[in-house]
Amino acid sequence: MGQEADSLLNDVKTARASFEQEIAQVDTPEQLDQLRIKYLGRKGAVAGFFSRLPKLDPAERPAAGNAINQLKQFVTKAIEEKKRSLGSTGPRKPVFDASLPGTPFRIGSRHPLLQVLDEIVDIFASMGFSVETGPEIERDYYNFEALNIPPDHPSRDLQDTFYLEGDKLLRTHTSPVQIRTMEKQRPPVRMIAPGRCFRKDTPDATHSPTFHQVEGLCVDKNVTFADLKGVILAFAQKLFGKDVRIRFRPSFFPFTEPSAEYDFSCPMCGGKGCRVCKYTGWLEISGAGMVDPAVFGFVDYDPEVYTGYAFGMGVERIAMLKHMIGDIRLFYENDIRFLSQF
Amino acid sequence: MLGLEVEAFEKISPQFEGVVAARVVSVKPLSGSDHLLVAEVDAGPTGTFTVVSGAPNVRPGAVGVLALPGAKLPGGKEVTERRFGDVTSSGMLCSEAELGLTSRADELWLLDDAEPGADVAQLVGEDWVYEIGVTPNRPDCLGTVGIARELAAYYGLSLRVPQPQVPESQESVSKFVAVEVQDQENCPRYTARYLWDVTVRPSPFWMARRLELTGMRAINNIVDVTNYVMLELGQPLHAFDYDLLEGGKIVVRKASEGEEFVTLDGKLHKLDADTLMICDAQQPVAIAGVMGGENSEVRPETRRILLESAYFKPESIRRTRRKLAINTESSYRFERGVDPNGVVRASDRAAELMASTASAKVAAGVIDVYPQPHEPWQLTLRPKRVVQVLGAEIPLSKTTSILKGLELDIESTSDEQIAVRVPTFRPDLTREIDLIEEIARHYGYDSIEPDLRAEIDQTLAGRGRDRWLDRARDLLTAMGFYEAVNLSFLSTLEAKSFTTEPDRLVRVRNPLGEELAWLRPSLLPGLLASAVRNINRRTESVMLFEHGKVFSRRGEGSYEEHTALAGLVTGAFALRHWRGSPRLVDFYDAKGAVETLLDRLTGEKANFAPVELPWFDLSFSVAVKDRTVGVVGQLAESLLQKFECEQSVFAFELSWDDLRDLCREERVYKPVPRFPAVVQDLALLVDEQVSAGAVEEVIRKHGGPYLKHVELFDLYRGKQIPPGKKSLAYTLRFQADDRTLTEDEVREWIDQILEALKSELGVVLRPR
Repeated sequence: MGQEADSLLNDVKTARASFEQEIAQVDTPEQLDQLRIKYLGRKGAVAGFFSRLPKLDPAERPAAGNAINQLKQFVTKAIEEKKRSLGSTGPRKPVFDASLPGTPFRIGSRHPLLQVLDEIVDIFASMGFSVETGPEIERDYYNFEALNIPPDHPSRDLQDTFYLEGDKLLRTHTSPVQIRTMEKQRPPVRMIAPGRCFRKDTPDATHSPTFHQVEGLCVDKNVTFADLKGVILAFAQKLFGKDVRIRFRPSFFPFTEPSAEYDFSCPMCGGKGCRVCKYTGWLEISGAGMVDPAVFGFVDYDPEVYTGYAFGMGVERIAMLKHMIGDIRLFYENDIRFLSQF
Repeated sequence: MLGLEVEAFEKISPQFEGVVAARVVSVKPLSGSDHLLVAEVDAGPTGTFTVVSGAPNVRPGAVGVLALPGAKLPGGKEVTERRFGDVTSSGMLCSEAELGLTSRADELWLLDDAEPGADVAQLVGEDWVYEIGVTPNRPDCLGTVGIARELAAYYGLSLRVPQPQVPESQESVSKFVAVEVQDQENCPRYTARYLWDVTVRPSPFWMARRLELTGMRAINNIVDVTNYVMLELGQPLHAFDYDLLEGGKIVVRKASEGEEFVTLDGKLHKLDADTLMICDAQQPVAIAGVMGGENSEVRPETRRILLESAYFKPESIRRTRRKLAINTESSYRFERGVDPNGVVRASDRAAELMASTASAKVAAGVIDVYPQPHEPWQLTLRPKRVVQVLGAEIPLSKTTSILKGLELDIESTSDEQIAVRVPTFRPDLTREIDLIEEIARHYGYDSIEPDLRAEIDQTLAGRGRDRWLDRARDLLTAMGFYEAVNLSFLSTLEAKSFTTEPDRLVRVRNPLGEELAWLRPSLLPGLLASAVRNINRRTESVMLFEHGKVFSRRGEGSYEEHTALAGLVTGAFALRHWRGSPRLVDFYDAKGAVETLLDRLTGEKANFAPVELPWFDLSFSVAVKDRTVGVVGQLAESLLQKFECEQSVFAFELSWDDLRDLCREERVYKPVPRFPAVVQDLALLVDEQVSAGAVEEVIRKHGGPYLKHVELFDLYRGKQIPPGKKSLAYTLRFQADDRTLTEDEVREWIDQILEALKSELGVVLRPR
């Protein structure tokens, strides 16, 4: 082997050793780039070694070329690895940013009022009440007369009614469904009637000419006022939690006797008094009572054999309490900024 | 907890201080004034003062109320010394109005029996005003005595009721007054008293103050007494000026049709033959039980009074006040039913008070036309029935003591039944169940323990909610629609814009206003209004749906209602995202929602056929299995302009009643394919006149038994496509259940499809 060849191979070996030392000390992309130029640049070490090849004996050139190529590959690979370990993926390639917002899937939601209505219905369905419906355009007979509210009865004043032609009107409560169900079915009857009702109230924060009600009815032998209190208590606790208590106060409805208004202890403050319950500890919910025997007369049930209870509730009121909504009109505006909260 | 709801209560305290009683010692005119007086007043230990006053009733000896300098009056006024010429007024003598006690401002408030120097705020003292909601079945509680009776019964106290002592003269009432009741049906009892030497003047302070705290206005001692007794006993009274009554006679009769009458509020009423009137020998002087007439009203110069106390039939009063639209305290009580046997007591009480406040002389006796006296009626109560209804065992002794406390006469008692007589002031107690309510009320609803035993007959627990409607609502919300709830009422413009049969629209006879006069024939106007509201509030992309009743009129007094399901899309299809702006929605979004919905509910493919409707610019009927269930389309531009909507809106409306029938109850599993499919794309060159639907139909018809799926994946017009043509690209999937198909087999079917496309529609493969 000629001297030239010997010297070249030796220099390649030395260069590799010193490269290894130098790259170990590199810790910025700039330093790495300088190192790359020093070894792989146009005037770098590797290029220098190649330029010495022609001086070698032709027979020795392949081996020497091979050694230089190995050095070149080694350096190239080491620099690539170092580059990666320094976290530099190059200036032009974008950095993946996981913090950008994800795809906003467009889904809607059920109306909050109807969510509450559905919840109420499901609670009573789970207690064995069947769901009955009736027309929204009712006959005076079902809306008033058969509920023991004859024409000229003062309690018609309590319900400002929208009238249509003839004996037709917009039902002021879902109680007519009680009558329609009892006409079709002999006792035992256990039903609820959810639905839309109408009263001639000028819209304001607590009134709407269209509103929703759930009416309940249970008729059988041995149905008592104590049962009524039991079913309302069970409902209250399923809707607002185990700690809710109930309170019944005497009232008057032509279709029940005895009649009551019932209240729930305020679930917001546990009955201690807060803004929601106006510091009374109680929330007025609605009316209830034992079915008046006169009503049984209209559907030909024998009041000596059967007794029954009935109750009603306003869905808007409960939904307003549940979600702390202060204005009933929000339910009927369908503002998506409101609807999308539920 | 008795059913008498305290709706509000308020502590009333005098809103003034530094006001003392002062006796007027002397009065002289203020020189240089024609109406002001200078009074020397003695305020006892506080001293004597000189004050200037313009009141007509300043006279020596009277005890008035003096606001001293520094006194505070209601409304933050402070009294100071004032100079009137050479006289310095040390404070002022006050009227009741100046002290905020009543509305009476014309005269000084004179105290009858106060020590000069006494603090007036202390003399007035504090009071409480309770506002009680009385349910319509309890006319007996429309007077303070009725409320007191309830409280006495509840707390087991004895009740003290005013026992009127009428200072009657020798002269008999019958010398002056005759009463003839022509309509005994509607006027079962009429009584009259005669009073003379009446001095009409302001009522004593205590009466005026109480009346005004209850919200009535003090007028004069006669009118005030009638109101005061009404508030006390619940019996409305009316005082006529006797000298304005022709012939000293009262006739109770129906009005003649079209008769005119001016009530004391100055309003003219046209009457019909059903209106019960109080008349004198010549003409009407009052609408019975509702309001007196201007022609017989008590005036300051009135000297003689005819005092009416009567029982009118509730239904008659109710009809009249509804027809005439007059609501008075009087009609309110009569139409609920006053006590026919309390009529004379109220008359006595009023006569007693008029004698003392108006120094009236009262004629002996009462004219009392009461041909068929109402008697307390008998009821029986079975203690067993009480348990059966209330579910609580109430001791017999408790039951009887409650009934006694309510002034029911107990005639007999046994374990089997209690017989009682109900006093006539309780018209609401006519049945056993009414007595049971009384017992429950006074026993306490809270004392009845809730019964939580659930004895449920499981065969009865039937129908829950409509689960297909639930499913439809889930599908629509999953597609991005928010559920809306709109009022059922529409304006004329809304209603008429969304119907083809305006004469079938349903109009409310007594609407809240023209904006809410019609029942909706369609859910779309409500949804459109909601969309516009959202757009105006800067939510421009709106997807809403609603289900609910829509209405139509079939004939006179006959209506139809059915449940509809409708939806609407407008604005951008997707929510904004940084990767790029979403496209705007178009017809195919509304159509796609309907297709998806119907597919998931019925398992069927919906068919669309063009249909013309005035509220759509472009619309199609939607049918499933040849049954039309609704429409889908683009709302008309002209319509949107009317409703101030500036962006395109696409909508659908389906009849839920029809669709509900088509919902597929049973789903039978189809095996998932085991063998791979052969997929072939076809790019076709199609004449613009030929619809994609027609092309697809031909492909399906000629694709053979293994063609399982045809999907349009591209529609292209433009470069490389000749004018008048479009390119439709389909993916076809062939699949057999029992083997893997070969390319050759599929090739044959494809050729058959292409041949048919060419011969039937002139459609060819798009050249590459």
